[in-house]
Amino acid sequence: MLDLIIKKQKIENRKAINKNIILLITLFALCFLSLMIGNTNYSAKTVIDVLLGKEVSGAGFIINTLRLPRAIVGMLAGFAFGISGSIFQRMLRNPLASPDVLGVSSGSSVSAVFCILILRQSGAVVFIASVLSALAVTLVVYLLSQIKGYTITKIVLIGIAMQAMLRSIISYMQIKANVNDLGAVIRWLSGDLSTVSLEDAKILCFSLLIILPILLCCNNQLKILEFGEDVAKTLGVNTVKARLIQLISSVMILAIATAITGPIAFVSFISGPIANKINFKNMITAGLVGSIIVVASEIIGQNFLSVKMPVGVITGIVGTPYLIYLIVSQRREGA
Amino acid sequence: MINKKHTTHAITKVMACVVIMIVSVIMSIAFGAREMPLDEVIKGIKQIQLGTLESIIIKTRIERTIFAFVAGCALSICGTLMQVVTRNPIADPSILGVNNGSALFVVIGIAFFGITSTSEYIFFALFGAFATAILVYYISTIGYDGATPLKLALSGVALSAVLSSILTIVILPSQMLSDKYRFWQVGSVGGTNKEQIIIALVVLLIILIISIIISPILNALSMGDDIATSLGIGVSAYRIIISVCSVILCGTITAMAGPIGFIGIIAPHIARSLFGGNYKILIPTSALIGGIILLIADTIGRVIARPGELEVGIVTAFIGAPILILMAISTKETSI
Repeated sequence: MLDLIIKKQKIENRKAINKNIILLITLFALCFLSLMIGNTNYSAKTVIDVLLGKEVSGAGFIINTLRLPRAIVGMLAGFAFGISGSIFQRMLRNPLASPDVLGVSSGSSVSAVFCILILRQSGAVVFIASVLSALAVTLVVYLLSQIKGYTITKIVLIGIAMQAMLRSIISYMQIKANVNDLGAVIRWLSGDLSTVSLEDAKILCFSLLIILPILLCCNNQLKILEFGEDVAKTLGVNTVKARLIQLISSVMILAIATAITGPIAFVSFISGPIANKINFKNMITAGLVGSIIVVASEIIGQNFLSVKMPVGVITGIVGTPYLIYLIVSQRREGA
Repeated sequence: MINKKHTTHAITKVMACVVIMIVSVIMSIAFGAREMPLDEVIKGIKQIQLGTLESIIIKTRIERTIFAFVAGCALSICGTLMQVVTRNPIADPSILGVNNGSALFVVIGIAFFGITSTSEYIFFALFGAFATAILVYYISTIGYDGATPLKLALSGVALSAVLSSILTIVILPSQMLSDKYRFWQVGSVGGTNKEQIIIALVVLLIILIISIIISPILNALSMGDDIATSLGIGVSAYRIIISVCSVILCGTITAMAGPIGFIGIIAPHIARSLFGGNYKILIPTSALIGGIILLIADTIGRVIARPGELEVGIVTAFIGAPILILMAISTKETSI
């Protein structure tokens, strides 16, 4: 009997891995497409030549310096958004509890905007500030929601209130800003890949490589946490510690990605639920779905509109119908 | 006996509110980028026709004070009415995304229809507010258990996000629009003219009177649809009327001042804890309290950021958010 269960589990696992591989191939295909098309279109052969390091006049600069960083950062940031969103949703046991709603993204935006507009800093300062303030906001929201018993309604309302406060600070900084910086800030605030460099990609890649293993190790604990506080405790999980590790690591990758691209709307919100339909509660799948959404939206935003739009605007509009569907179909048990 | 005692208590509280209102009006006129001693204020009022420095300052400040008070009253009545319709104490134009709806349509109006006059602004803002309010409420009612507070709030957040995405598409290509929008988006009661104040005042008075007249119905509705129906009230018809009233108030104020959040939550909440749940008393008192709060918030904003000012929308967000958090912490899930 036990053999049978284990065997079935193995088949399931293999299926999941196969699906992930398909997603990965789709993602690479999209990235490749995004390298090919743009103001000037290049053939697949040219792109491969450039990527292999051959000198192709004209195409070399555009592909290596302009398009490649976007594709890579888009991919990695989407991955980070997708994973951290799905962890939030699973940990708080509600598909609507994404970092966007809980004010985490606003938390990192506030300090990033402050650094960009007021201090005129970029690079490491922005990362550190945005990670710290995202962590602080998460912690405050989480702790406040624990007072007099945690409920999902409570944490969402507190998150919304925090968000309103942080947004008002952002608006204030926008008023005080120089009008010439305004476009950059609005772009950044809606989530934009147009200013990223390979340097950003390196930072993002590096931090994902550190944090991803931690998250994967905690995956089993997360699965147990999903059964509820009591079950997890009886199974010997230190719920507070497990939750804190998950929360901190997912906020960190989210904040680093946000510091680079700005809060790309809804990616963390919708990747988890979409991923659940493909592979039930699989972290990697959620990340891949996030990447695909970002890269695909970037292609749309750059090529199919009269004015080039930041990627977050596209994800915001594309993600909405799905989000509304989620709200509408929410069941009592999740509320 | 108890009733009589209760009434005298209520009268004392109302008197206290009126006193606070008078004090805050005086403070609002006396404080600002430039502080004015009382004798200068009186001098300015006496010379109001002469156009001296004092009188000009006093005149702008009086206009601003009146508008702040009117806007506060309007927003808190709007919040109270929305809370009746949704039976949900956190309903507020800022939370339900109605403000963002008005914002988007005003911006669209400026960008594509070249609107400039107040009435055109109001028209577009009202249209946006209506569309958003209907959409948010409709989204939150479909599904398993109707418009729970959670779903209502989340629908508001979700729709706001979409609206701001669309808004970005509209404003991003034009620096003129982004520049205009950033000032409008914070919510400020400065910079209104006499014509706007009169429009706001008229709208406020009409809807205040309507709300007081229908207050028995509001009372019945707040006890639940079943009870209201059994009392012979056409629930859905009145719901529509009340929603229309509240959206008109909010749209008008938003068109003039930009989105000012949280007054619609704070004022009715305070009024309810002071005067109980009878809407006949609750409507005028929450209006009074809302006006006072907005006045004080505006004065604070002018004093702490001298010689500039901190826009009132920012101040109310900072006062309102903690109160919302407190409400979320202290109330039980079933009652929100």
